Amino acid sequence: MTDRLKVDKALKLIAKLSIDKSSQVLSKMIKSGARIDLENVCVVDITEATEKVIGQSDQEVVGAFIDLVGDAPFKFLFYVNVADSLVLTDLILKREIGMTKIFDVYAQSAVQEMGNILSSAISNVFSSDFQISMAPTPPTVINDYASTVFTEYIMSVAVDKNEILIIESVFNIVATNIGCRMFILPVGESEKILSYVASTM
Amino acid sequence: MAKRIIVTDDAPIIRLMLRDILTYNGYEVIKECNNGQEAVEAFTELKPDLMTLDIVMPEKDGIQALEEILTDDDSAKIVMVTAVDQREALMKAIRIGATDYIVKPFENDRVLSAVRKALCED
Amino acid sequence: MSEGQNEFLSEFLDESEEHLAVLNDKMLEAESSIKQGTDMSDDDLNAMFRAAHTIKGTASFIGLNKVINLMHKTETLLQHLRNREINLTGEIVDVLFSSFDSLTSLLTSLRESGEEAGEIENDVAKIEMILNQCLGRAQDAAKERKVAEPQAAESQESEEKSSEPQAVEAPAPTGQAQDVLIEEPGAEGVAPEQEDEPRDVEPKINNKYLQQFLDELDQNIADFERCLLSLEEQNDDKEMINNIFRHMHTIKGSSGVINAQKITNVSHKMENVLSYLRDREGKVDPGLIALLFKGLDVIGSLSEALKTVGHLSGVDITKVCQELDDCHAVLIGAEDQNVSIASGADGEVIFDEEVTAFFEGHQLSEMEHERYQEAFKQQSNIYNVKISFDDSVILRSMKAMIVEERLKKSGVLIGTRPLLEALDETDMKVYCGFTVATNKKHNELETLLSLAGVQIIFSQTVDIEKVKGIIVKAEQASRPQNKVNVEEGVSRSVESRKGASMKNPVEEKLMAASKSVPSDISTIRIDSRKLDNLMNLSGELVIIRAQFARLVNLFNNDVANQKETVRIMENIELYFDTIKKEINDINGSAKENEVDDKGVSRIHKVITEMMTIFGDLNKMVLNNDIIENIHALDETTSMLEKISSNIQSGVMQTRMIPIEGVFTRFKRIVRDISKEINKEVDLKIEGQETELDKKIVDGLGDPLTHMIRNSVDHGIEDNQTRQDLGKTRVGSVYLKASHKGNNICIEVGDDGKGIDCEKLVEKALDKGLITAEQVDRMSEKDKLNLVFMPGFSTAEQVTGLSGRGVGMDVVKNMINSVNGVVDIETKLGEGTNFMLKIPLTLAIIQALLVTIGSEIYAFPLETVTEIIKVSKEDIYSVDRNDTVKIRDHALSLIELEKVIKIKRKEEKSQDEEKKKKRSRKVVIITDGESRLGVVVDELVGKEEIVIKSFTEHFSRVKGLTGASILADGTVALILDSATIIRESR
Repeated sequence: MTDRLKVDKALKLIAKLSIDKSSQVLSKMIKSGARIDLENVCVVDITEATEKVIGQSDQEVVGAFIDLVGDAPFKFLFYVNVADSLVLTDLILKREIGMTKIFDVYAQSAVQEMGNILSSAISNVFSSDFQISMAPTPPTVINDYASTVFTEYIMSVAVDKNEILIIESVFNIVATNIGCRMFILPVGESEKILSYVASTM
Repeated sequence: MAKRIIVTDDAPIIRLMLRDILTYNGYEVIKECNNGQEAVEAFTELKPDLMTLDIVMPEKDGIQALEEILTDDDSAKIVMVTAVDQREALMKAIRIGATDYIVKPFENDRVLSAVRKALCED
Repeated sequence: MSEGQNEFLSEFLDESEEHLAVLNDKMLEAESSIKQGTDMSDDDLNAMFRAAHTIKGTASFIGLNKVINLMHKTETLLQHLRNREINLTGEIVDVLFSSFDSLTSLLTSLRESGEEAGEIENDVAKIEMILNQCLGRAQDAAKERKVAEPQAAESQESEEKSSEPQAVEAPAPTGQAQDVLIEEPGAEGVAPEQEDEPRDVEPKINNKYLQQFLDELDQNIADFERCLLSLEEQNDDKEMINNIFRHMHTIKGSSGVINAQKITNVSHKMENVLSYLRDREGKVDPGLIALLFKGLDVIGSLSEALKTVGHLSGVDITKVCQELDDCHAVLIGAEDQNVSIASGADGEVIFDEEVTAFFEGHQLSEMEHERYQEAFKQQSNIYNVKISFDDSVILRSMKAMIVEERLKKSGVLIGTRPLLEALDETDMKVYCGFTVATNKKHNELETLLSLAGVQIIFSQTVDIEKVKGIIVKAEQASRPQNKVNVEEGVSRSVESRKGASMKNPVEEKLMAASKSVPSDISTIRIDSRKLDNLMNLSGELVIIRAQFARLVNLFNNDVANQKETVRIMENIELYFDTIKKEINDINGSAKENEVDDKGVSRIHKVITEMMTIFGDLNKMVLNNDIIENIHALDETTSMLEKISSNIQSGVMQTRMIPIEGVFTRFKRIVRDISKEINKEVDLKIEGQETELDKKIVDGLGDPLTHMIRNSVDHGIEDNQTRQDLGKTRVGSVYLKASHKGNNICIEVGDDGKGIDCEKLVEKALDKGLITAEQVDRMSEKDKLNLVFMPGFSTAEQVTGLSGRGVGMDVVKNMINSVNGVVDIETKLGEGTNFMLKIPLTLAIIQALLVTIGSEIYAFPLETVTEIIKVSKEDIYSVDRNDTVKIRDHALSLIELEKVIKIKRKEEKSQDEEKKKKRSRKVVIITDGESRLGVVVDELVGKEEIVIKSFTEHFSRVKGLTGASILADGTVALILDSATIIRESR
């Protein structure tokens, strides 16, 4: 197996474990069956990243960025399209779906907390399963087109790299059609650390 | 008479969730606070029976607020609210004297059980 | 094959190889008993049958059709043999050997490519022929063909769907209540993981053999039922359990052949449970029997479905599978960490003993003793509180911490057991205990501890007198070594059992571990990659240890430097003292200049201040703590050294396996060769219990095979010639293995005709491998070693076996690749001996570090015979080679870059410098026979280094075998002495 593939395999494994934990946490949050699936682990050129990941269907979304700092730092992004964010809010508050009609402070807070909790779960997997100590930073919430949100997300690492490793996952929530996605973007030396850790598993 | 509770969290939706759970179960949420500073002031002023306190907040975090409140009144009942990975912060809070903790995302019965036990209602 | 099945494949391959070894071994014995006219024992025949049957069974689970069919045939034949229905003849032996070989090829191709490459038709046909002949029943032959390879385009397969309802011989050994223990070592370990993914797609049932299978199935179900009923009545009947197991195993096997996966699944799970029961003593729980009946019923329904609608999609097996899995998991019990004991099994709770012991006052730390004493003095109430946690609590240590804090608030917390981190390290139910001295009353305490998720088991007053007694006894017994500070939070629950002594923590952990391992486990399977990893890590440990030692050294230097600093400062002090004096003098004598006066007194002030500062600095510098810390560091380093040594040898030990595995293979090879070339040869083996690293064993297989083949083919004369020469008719080949110091010595020898050196020289000259001049300079040894030159082969005939140009040079390389050396001894007419010497440790060697130019190189210390200083005058030239005389022997000298391609990053000027040097340092290296002097610039020292081998890109660099990272981080290239010597010629 080439090194690249090995790295991918290792990262996929860690990604999968983290995402499983996020799934659990998500289910708890919305009190409903939910599954987060690992959609993609790939290395892309920065200039093509947005195109590749977002593609053509550009929707208006609400996204929460969170920076995870620590031994294996990464940038986390969670976004959901605006209409669905209202549904999400209702799910979290256990209200009848449709009660939240406008993107109010609660909907925004919902997206923010989702980002918070999901990224915490992932960082928890890192520290308890892999002994990589991490700490979150307060989230930033942006409301814009998906391509803009995503570009903003990856631009923060554009400074030192041309290629980035993206870990993308997609949500499946029972009885709904909510489209949300979550991304993990290792920064700095994270990739090496993660694959080193995974190779010792 | 219903027990008086203050809910502190920087996320409106969490405050709303807690408020819903508590009110539904017979407690009175007398105030919602947005950050640690507000929490300390509100506690001193209103002397609630219990406060829920988020750990990560802007403008004075939960640990700091906890410390100040306890220094002032060491019988204060404070339940920390933590996200799943904030172990170290939680440890700190417990050593300072937090009464109990609940983990986000929370389950209703866990919230209630923590509150009830903290208020010594068996 | 799915991802999951790949793991099983490698386990299957490992195990099948073992079974295959058994088959080969026993067959060899069988052959010799035929010769001697004795009979094979029942045990041996049974062993062979079982081995074949097991291979078939496991193969059928993975779906390796060729293996299945081949083994099925083999098994059938073996079955008849062990039933004494057929007699063992030489022909049968050959046929069986041939099928074993085919199996070997299948296994090899599976290992390499994951595919079953190779033909089994021949073997299958041969076996069938034998069966036909011996049993003489055409019907049987037809039956055999039915269960044979589905894809085999057998046109003569008659549409004999007329199945005989009686049980067919091969898969179901009817009613034989023998000790047929069908081992499925792979199966149990395999099962729980396998069944994770429910197979959504119903695989296609193989309809050809369906009818036959259904009939057999019915029979087996009936048999199973009969046995199960019997077991129900007498539930400790071990034989019956065995029978049941066999029936289920059969069902599983045949369901695999027709691809009835659901049946395979259920039967496999049933088998797991049954296998567990088989290994245990005692009665079988009625509940379990009920579950087995349930499983049987499901299999019955599946069978019905096949009969009526022809597919299994309609039958749901998930429930019964789950129940069987759960049952199995519970049976396995504490070994399976995924089982939550809290869910039903009669609660084993951990830390119970610890808490109880603690409450009684045993194994307390010094601080805890003190607190107790204080509490006694104050006459406070002392309580023991024991708690447990709700299942829903994840962070138990946190909850326990809350209890601790509350207790601390109410009085003095004397102590807690276990250490809080330990609570989170397990998923099992736990207890936690606290002892507190307080003036609060009992009921107040209970209210105080009301906490969500925590149950108070009890809180009781402490029996003070009793505890006092135990404490006093403990204090008398212990020495002031109880420096253990429990509050440090180091998880040492093992040490606390031993009363907090300063024992070697590794020893302790090992002792604790050995206590908890049930005594009937003697071996476990480990993924060799994990061992490799461990080896790597222990190698890293060596490096870190060295770095540590280096840091200690630096530390020492720092302290020395500081002392130097102090000395300098003392001088400065003196200097200032002098200035002060001068100024005083001036002060005393200058009365006129008032301005000067003030200036001078200012200076005076400054100086006084500086003196104070110096005084302080002085105090700070000679900080005695540093010295103590260095001593501690030193001690720790030696401990680290000891531990890492231990770990290293421990890890090495795990990888050691007896060389027997490789040796026994040769018996077969010698037999085969003897037969082929019609030369009777005996193989004598000694020292097969000698253990060496698995990697080495694997790497030795081929070279040894070559050498043995050579000996048999070329070395040993044919029987007639030997007799004529007055030698024993049957020649012998010897294989001896032994430990010598840090090496393994393996000798491969024969009593044949020996090697004729002159012939070697002739041949080499002929082939232009050497020149006549070189011959003159050669010693006997050198001439013998010609055999190791590439492209060399003295065989007049290139026989099919050993002479294809794959000669001794390849063998030598293979041996070198495990860091070994090979030597030859021969006597014309009497025989030849190859001696292999292989170091025990692959990865860590002693090396001599030198600098050449600006680079550091490492010579494996084993290859270094001497280090000398040579003055320019002593060097003379022979054939444009620099030579030096050492004790009457000529020694060639070389500069390394002239032999292997290394660049010297030096300036011309440095080169000139060197040329001016009057003497040079020379390292004399050897490859076992010849010696060579390598000129070096500086000797750095002798060190233990970890060999990091090169990746493919660099492995072709001549003269280097790897690199090593030294203590200070620089990379040293490791030189290959043998290659250097060779290249210098």
